[in-house]
Amino acid sequence: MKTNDDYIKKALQQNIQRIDDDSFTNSIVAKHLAEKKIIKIRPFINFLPMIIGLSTVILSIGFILLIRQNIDWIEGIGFTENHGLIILSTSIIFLFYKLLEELTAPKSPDNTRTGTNNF
Amino acid sequence: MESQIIKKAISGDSEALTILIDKYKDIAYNLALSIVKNREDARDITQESFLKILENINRFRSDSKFSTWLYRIVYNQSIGYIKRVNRTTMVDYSGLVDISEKNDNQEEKIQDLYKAINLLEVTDRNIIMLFYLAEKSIKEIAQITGFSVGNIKVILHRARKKLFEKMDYENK
Repeated sequence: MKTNDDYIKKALQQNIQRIDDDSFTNSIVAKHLAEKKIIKIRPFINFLPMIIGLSTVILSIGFILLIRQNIDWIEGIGFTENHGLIILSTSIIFLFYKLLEELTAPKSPDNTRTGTNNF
Repeated sequence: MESQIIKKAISGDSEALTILIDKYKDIAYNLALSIVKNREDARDITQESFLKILENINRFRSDSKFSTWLYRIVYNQSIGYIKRVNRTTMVDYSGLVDISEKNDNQEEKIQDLYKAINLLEVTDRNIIMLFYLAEKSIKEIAQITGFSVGNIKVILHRARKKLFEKMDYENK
């Protein structure tokens, strides 16, 4: 049994099939390093739309709080709590839309995402 | 030693990457070849496997050998490939083997060995290659293939018995 095992091992190892392409290793290394470079560049995200979205959320919350405290000048311009809620909802939707757009945008050949958030 | 090369490879050192690929590419290729039975496909699978390995090399945990992790990826890629294209009964593996500079008797014996291996089922053939060519232990083969240690023992025993019978070694 042991002799048979040794024979099979020796025969398989001595007759190992080799990849007959000298550039095989180099092409893998080059592809890997190129992909690694792309990954390093990929996280570029333009935060401007998100900052705008967040600011709008904060502002609309502020407006709602002011209305709830019955501030005269807010009531004077006819701004109601409902208006504040509409702005708040719109800005939250905008914020989520921009976030999803950024995360799901495909990569362009110049290694940046093709989402509209990239300038 | 190898752990240092892996650390360098994680940081993108091209020399370390080359050393790792050169060290394992032939056995990885033979493993893929024993499953898909086609040189071109085996080459592509080996290449894809290495790219996947290098992409995820930072996730490699040294609780198992690097080679075991690597062969597991090659095995999964190869099995995934034959499931996709359903080409388990393609080219005769024995015909793919180049045996040169051997005398007639030796050549005949080796051809017989490869013919016998070719007659094995994919799983049996693959376990034989991992056991003899990659020199993996039963526990490591279980890690690579996802079978239990008991299963591997049974499959290996059955496959070796078939090989010895086919090659008429039992009485020698």
